[in-house]
Amino acid sequence: MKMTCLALLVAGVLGSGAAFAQTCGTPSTWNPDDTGQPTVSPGDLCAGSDSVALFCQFLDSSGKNDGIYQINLAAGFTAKSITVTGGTATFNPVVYLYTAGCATGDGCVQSGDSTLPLPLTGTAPGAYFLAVTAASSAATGACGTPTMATNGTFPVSLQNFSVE
Amino acid sequence: MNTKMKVLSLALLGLVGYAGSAAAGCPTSPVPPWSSAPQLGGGVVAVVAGGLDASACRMDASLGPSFASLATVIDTTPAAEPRYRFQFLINADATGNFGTTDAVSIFSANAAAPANGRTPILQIALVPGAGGAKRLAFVASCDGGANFRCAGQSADLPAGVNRVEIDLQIGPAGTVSYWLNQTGTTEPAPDGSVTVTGGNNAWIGGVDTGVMGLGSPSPSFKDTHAGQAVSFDTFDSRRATYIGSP
Repeated sequence: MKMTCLALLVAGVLGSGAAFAQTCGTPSTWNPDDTGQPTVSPGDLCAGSDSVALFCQFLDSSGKNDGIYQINLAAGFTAKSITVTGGTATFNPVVYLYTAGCATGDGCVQSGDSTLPLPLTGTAPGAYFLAVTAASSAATGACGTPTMATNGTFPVSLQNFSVE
Repeated sequence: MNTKMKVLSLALLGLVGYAGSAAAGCPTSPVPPWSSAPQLGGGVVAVVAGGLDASACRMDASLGPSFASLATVIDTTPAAEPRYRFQFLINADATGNFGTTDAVSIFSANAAAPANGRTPILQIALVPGAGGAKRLAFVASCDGGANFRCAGQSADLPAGVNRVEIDLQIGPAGTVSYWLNQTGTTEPAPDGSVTVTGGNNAWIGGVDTGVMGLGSPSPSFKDTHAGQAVSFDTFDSRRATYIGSP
């Protein structure tokens, strides 16, 4: 008997605190472990790019750079919320969880900021975009270095399994 | 006349004007006739008794204590409209006097896709006027403004219910005109306009969605006005004709 177990994604392997191009063209991934590690940061958004002009059909993000992640909330995920830190006097970071086309910023299902974390409890399992950017009320060009953290796993999902 | 949009406008009037009696209760949700009602970050949209136009029901929107809070209803029936005339009633008295840094968005007319980094064709916000009063601030997409934005403000709004009507025209000679608290159905001269610097706003396309409610709070609005309701009623949108007041 031969057993194959393919594409078992390991928590933490794809998630990384390292800064790289988190854009709609190349969204990053985040796979926290049972303790929510690692945290993730898109690095300095001032040096990033603006993928989304409008979130949730109402929140203007034009001229404010974004960090874009693609996450999968698999059945049984234990993470209860996502916090974002890194605010300054001119940068109030916000996070949006949404389902529509990445650059549309639409189909919002949850949101959060540095005082009110993005809730995950009750969110349906599935694939989502997670964007971090400056508050829509901030001036054009507002940016900073946000960090996102969570308190559980999303978790790892088994992509393919067969027993022959 | 855009039949689809007109039909919806009647439906929306049906919701916020609600023909039933107060005793019969109000709908539990604004959907339908609105297409959806996103509520995030502690934001709440509620249909409650006591219409702003003496009808049975109105819509109350309030935000949570978050920069990412949102309490809106979305109308997706417009279809790349080159002219979008719309009207709504608003009463923001429950937010009390506005401080000098209070601000919150109340409406957005959006294009189907961004151009020059802009998706909203026209955004409207409540901002501080004189002595704690509120006024409307407009940001229109335009050729000649910084970051493709042209801004304008109304006079101070009187306390209580205000009737706001907008005529948004998109094209090589785009215009934004507004009327405040006009009576009658004959179109008077506008009470004001937003200068679409450069004139041409055709590049953004037409209006594909209308979004009404609250979002994008300034820091002081978030900190001091969370949970305070702004009331809306009697939304109507048309392609060509002045709406006015019966």
